[in-house]
Amino acid sequence: MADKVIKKGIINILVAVIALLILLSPLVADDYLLGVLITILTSAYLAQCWNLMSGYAGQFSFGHAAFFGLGAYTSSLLYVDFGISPILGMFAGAAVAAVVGLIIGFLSFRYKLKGDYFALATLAFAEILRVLFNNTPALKAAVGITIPYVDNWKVFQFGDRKIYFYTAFVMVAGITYFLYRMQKTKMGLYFIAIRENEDAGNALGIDTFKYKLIALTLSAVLTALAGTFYAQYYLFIDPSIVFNSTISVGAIAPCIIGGVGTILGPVLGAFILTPISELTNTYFASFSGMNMVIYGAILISVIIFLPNGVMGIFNKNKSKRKLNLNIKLKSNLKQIQ
Amino acid sequence: MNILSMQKVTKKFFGLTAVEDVTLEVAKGEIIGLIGPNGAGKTTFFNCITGYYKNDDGKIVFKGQDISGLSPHKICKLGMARTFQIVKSFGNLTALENVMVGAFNRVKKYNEALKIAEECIEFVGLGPKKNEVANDMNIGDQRKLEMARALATKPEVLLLDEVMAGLTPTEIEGVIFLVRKIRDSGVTILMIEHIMAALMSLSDRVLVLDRGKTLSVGTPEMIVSDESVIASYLGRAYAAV
Repeated sequence: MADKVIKKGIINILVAVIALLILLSPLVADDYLLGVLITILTSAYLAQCWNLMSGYAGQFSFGHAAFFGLGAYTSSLLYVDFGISPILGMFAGAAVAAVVGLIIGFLSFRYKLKGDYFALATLAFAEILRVLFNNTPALKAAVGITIPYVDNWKVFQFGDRKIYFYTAFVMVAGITYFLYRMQKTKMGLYFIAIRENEDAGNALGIDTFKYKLIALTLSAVLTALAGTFYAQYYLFIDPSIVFNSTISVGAIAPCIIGGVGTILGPVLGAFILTPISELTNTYFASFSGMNMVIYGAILISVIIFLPNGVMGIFNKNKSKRKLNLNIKLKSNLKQIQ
Repeated sequence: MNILSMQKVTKKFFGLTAVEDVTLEVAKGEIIGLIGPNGAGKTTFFNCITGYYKNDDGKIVFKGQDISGLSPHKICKLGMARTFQIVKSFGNLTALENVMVGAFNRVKKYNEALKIAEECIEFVGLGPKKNEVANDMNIGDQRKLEMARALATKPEVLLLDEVMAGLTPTEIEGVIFLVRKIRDSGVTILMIEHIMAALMSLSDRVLVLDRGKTLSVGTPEMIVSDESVIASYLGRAYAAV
């Protein structure tokens, strides 16, 4: 028991120190490194959004690009066409994503789509949106939206990359803290119960339909915020970027590397994956596609050797005894017969 | 008035009638045993009562309200809980967290749920193992855990689906004791069981199903001397008991 407390204390201190180091890094980092750090943080944030719904509540999504794209498009269209600041547009984007999330969730859960089938449905919805935005002139079609650069914080633009960095840092810290607190609430425990065994959850009074919808909608809302951030950072979006399935994969991969359904796993995963893809991009620039090969090889090795992600190394000794359990069960059955 | 009343409950799966015209009145505080050969429709009957299946015909009245067709979580809220024939633990959660999920049926706050969960886990005798992960527990403990979880929802009626299957004789004794204790705390119990000695000693009344139909209802003494039950299920050897 005392061991546990000490272990927890060490982890807490470690997390605090690392967070502080990251927080102070802009003081020494050059512009390039700052750019990489921002990519890492947005990747970590997206992964945490996915983690909430798929890692904790167990509803696997392959279509998080849908919510990301809706967030980016809503705020950008409102700004470019109506002059509404993306700071407000961000929340409008979140609202749109919430409505679409509710529709996707209602249809999928109403018809009891589970596991792979649900994941495919989310992928299909994201693709529908991509095609829709690509072909609708009112939504700027395939041309996309170029956001005029004005460098004014009132329209969510900052000349200094450091501000983008701190914004992303706050987003990651915020969602990570939210997940940490969520574990100790009725909602958090219900999410995990649904992931572990939906039927049993239902028997214990969980309105599984409602809680799955909450998880999806919450995740959609938070993902949309990342979409707005992306649009304001790169100042250009088009459907083949923000609704692309690489965004959806980008939300999943750090979780798988770091550990699905863990608090720190997705952040850790982002810190591992983004630098790898940056390095391979730099060193294999002459072999186009080489970066993807290496990226893929790393993903495959992690899945084979660390099925529970990097965090799984720290949380060992689970499910080791499954085999023993089966043997025990059989011997018990024999005794009774 | 009876707490639970099933009137001519029928459930069909396409051409097969799994439960046909089963009628049963359950008084508060009773322990009802449910027996029958494999495929008699016992678990299907349980699934109808708890909302996992919608009965095609008949009525299920719980505390004066017709609950046929209600979803399982609503029925649980009304005060009915169940365990599963094949244990359905939340494998990666600790025993205590497993029970807390049940406790949240009645309370909102984490600490209140924790308190109820601790009481229930103590009640079934898993106190020393409350911090073990469910996947690491043996089958006997997992069955007790399921009972603790169901009790944490604060039910008035508890349905136990073969809670003694796969247990050692010592573990079975423990469960018999536990079932009595649950009844004495004011919970009405329906239980499916294949272990006759245990079932007969616990039940106030026994319902025998065969091919979906009621074969016999009565006290354990009546059941063991019922010719049709002996012929279809118990067999000659048991009739002497």
